Amino acid sequence: MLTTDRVAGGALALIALVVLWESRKLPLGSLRTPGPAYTPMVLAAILLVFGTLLVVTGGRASAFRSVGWAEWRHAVAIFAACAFAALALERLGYRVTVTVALAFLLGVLERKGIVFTVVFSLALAIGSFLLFDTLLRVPLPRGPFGL
Amino acid sequence: MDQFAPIALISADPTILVVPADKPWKTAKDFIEDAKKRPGQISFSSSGVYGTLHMAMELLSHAAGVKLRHVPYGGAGPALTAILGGHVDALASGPAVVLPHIKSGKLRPLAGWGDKRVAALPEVPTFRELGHPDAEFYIWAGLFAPKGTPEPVLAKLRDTLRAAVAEREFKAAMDKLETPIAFKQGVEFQRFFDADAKRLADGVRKVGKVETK
Amino acid sequence: MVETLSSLAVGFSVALSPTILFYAFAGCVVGTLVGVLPGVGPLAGISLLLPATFGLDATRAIVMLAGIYYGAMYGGSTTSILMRIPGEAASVMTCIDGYAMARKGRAGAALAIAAVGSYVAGTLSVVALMFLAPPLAEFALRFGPPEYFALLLLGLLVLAYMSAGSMLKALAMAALGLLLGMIGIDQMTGYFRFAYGMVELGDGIGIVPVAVGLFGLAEILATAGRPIPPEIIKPRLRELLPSRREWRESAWPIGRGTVLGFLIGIIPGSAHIISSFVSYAIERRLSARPAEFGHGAVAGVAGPESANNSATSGAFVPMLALGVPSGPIPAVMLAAMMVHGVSPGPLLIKNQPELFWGFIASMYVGNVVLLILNLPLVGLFVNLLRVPYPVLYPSILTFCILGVYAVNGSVVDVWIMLAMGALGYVLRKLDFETAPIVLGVILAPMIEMALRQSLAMSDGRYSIFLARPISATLLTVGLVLVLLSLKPLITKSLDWRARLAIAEKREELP
Repeated sequence: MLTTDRVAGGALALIALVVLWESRKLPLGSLRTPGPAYTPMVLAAILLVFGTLLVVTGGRASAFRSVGWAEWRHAVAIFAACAFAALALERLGYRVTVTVALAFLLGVLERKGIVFTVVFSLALAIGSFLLFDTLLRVPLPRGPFGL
Repeated sequence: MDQFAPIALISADPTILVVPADKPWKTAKDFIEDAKKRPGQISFSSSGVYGTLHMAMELLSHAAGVKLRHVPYGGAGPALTAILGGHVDALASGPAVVLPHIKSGKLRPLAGWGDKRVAALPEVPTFRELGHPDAEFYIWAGLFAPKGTPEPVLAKLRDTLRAAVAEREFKAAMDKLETPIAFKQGVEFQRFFDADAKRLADGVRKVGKVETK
Repeated sequence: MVETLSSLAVGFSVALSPTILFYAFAGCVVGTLVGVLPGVGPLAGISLLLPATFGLDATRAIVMLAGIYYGAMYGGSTTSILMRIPGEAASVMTCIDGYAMARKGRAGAALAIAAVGSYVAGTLSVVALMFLAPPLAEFALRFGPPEYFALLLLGLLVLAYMSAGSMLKALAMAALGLLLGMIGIDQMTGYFRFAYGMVELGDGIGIVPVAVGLFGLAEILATAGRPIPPEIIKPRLRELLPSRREWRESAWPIGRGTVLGFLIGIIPGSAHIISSFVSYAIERRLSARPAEFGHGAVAGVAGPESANNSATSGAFVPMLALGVPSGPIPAVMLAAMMVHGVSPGPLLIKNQPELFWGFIASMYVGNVVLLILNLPLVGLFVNLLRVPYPVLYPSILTFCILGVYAVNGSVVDVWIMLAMGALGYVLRKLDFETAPIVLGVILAPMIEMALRQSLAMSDGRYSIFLARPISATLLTVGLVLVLLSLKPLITKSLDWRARLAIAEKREELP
């Protein structure tokens, strides 16, 4: 039966194989003087063993199909908002990016009122900028027009 | 380095070779002779591969024709801890960092990498005096501007910097750090920089791996 | 002894003078602020304020910087408990049970226990620092690469042995974390590993983005979309303070955490990070109800929080007694002392008794200040939970992104956090613990470096680990742990872990 442990174990074993394949580009060194590829290879081998063991012994874990993914749309939307923030942060500047991302999350995703959304997004974006950039002198990116 | 225009050099400290006080070597000559007898047996710590403290040691090994065992650490602090704990036999370090430990008798200075002796350690010879002129190395700090900065701006920066370096407070702070000010600007700085870059490139090439541009 | 006490009296006369008191207070306030805000850790806080201290005399400057340092350690637990965002590596473990307590309406209790635990640990470890600094510092220096390797390996084994549920799953997660920790420049040879041309990955993937992603972001992804949002917890004043039972259950963990943290803290290097992990593992093992761990066990907050604070004082031992920086933060403090003309080391106590004892006394004073400062803040912070979740989580996300970005000013770190958030979300669905991944990421570079340094020291002979008494002892303890965990395979009886898993299953059924 396909269980959570088996799915995860399979994925881990796959990752281990990829790492082993990618490590071939680096010098392995010897047992006495390990090279840069030495530790990754050893760890990948260990992970491969653990992953395989999980597949073998994971029959009693809960079934993969019983895992509820009901909130996936929401999770993807939130993730997309964060990805937008990461993309825009150094292009549009901190304040613009955060205002837009917050407005999307509050206004579109959580259906808050327009006045609340706009005021809250602006206040949090500008407030946190003041606290970190102006007061604590942690430089945050500025976009066009110095925003 | 083509992307920068030099403004001025602020300080340049030669590194100092130190060994734990309980080791047999009393002079740099003892150390080098012993290293020749036992190639690859005497170990030294460094701030990391191709870090300043590593390069200083490599320049020495090639100048003196010895082979030392390199144990890199993640920074100058851990490298110092390693020699104080007796886990390695030698360290090349900036003078300021090791001075307190030399004074307290835990470490013994053998020689310096400078073209002249360090003011705070007048009894410690330089490798140049000992017949290894190629072992010259400095940990230096200077300021650069981006390439293409207009000359009037550079001049202004230089003047401001010279005034700042001459301030009594700055001098006092640097004295406390045991870091003498070595102000150089313009051609003088360029010459220092070129010489340093050449020494380093030679050193790196000798270590065996050269990053190509 | 008498001499020490009379010196301490001199110290207190220095520390309690109004100006010094003012600087200690200022340092504590800034430190708390810096600790509460994600992304700005104690290192950034001290570095930022270092130039501001140049105009002060040495004692004031150092008292203020020390205030920032342990103020940040106090503040670090706040976001972990309230939002499941660890401000730094030391508060990762607090996220697990601290946040679970907050979801049960015990946020006030968790914050108060964390503050009191930090206070006790801070004060006791200063006492230890006072009497034991010189002999302990000498001992700590004997920790070279081989000892370090043995200690880190033991830390990993302890965690795997004591984690709940399947040891195999915990080990697999730790291995994954260790592999993630391999990304970046190989410190021994300078080779880029798994960076695929991204220069920003050179220093490896940072701990903060990994921890914030796996804990903070994954939590939001899993919770925000539920059809019924988590109910708002309205804290009542009566519930702000820990109950008598909670006090009783945290007393021993605080004591054990203090001793453990101090001992691990004095070892030069970054081993202090594992003190909170090991403390958590030990408390879980010793607890009468291990099943509560992960679901809001107060001991899981008290132990690690005490351990990380006491490690902070422990880190001062090699610095003050030998002039050796035991980590990045003491290194900055050391530089600060040298700027002010103080050279720490064996001669410090003799040459500048006023500064040394003033510093020690100000650590006592600082801990009291922090306790007074933090307990009323508990009431204030808990009110954050009154904010409805649909408004709260976008705000938390903002601080996640801001904090992660602020550490290095790098967008790559934000992407790492996003990737870790997605990974954490999926693993959560598949019922895997993510704390071992964080531990793996932290330990991987350290453990590899220590192994290869040891081999460089011994010219490739593995016997170096057994020839040195400290590392041999640590490795033996590790071996015993492994054998103990293999015992049930041979005797075929259920060990405590299997019994626990069954008990947990039973709990979930009704």
